[in-house]
Amino acid sequence: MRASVDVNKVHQRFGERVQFFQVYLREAHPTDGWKMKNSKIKDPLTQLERNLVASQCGKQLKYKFPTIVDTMKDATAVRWAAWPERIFVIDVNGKIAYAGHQGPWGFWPTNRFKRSGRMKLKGDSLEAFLEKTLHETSKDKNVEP
Amino acid sequence: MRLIALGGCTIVVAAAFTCLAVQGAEAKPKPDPAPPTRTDDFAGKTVKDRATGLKLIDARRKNVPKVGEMAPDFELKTSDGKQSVKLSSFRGKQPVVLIFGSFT
Repeated sequence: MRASVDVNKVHQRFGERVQFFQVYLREAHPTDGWKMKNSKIKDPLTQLERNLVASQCGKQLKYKFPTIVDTMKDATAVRWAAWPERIFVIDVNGKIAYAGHQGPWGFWPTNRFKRSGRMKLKGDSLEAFLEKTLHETSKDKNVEP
Repeated sequence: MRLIALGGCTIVVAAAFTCLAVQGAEAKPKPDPAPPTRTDDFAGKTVKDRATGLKLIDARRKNVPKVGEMAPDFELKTSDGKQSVKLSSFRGKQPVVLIFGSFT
């Protein structure tokens, strides 16, 4: 939940120039699986159930960008090695411009946010990457970042 | 003598059965099992426990798309089921940020 505040902050800064999507995957800690203390959700068994949970998630985290939902065969999670959570940026040419570290410990939306001080993350947070990339683009076009 | 003959016959019959069994086995070799596709082992299943979760992460680690590669395309529906989003439709238009995750 804490991460959603930082994700929203990045979206607020760059959302007009970059399209954001939440890609909803299989539950990491359902009550009927790898349960944690604060687990409250059973793993959805149908696409409709997963869609409903995904909608609730987007609303509760106050995301102002669309949520799209992976299939029940987890095809996208497999192909992108994205489970349980991860951040990617795709450039206008369709290439991977930024591949975030594996979550949860590597989920790094802003420089301020780090799940654990124990993990020394190399590279940039999402926010730092977008700052560098879009600021350079803005400079070229004489547009204020 | 009869006992010796009977014993000899038994041995011959047993040997004949053994030969037939060996020939049968040689005639129908068992096909090699297909190598397991590790990234598919966990697809479509609830993550049962910590060990499974860690195995899943490890198995898929090798698949991770790298910077500079073409992004694997997908077409997924929005959570309300009303719209379909195809990643490649943004080419030439706008960069895209993908936040992968779940509620838990």
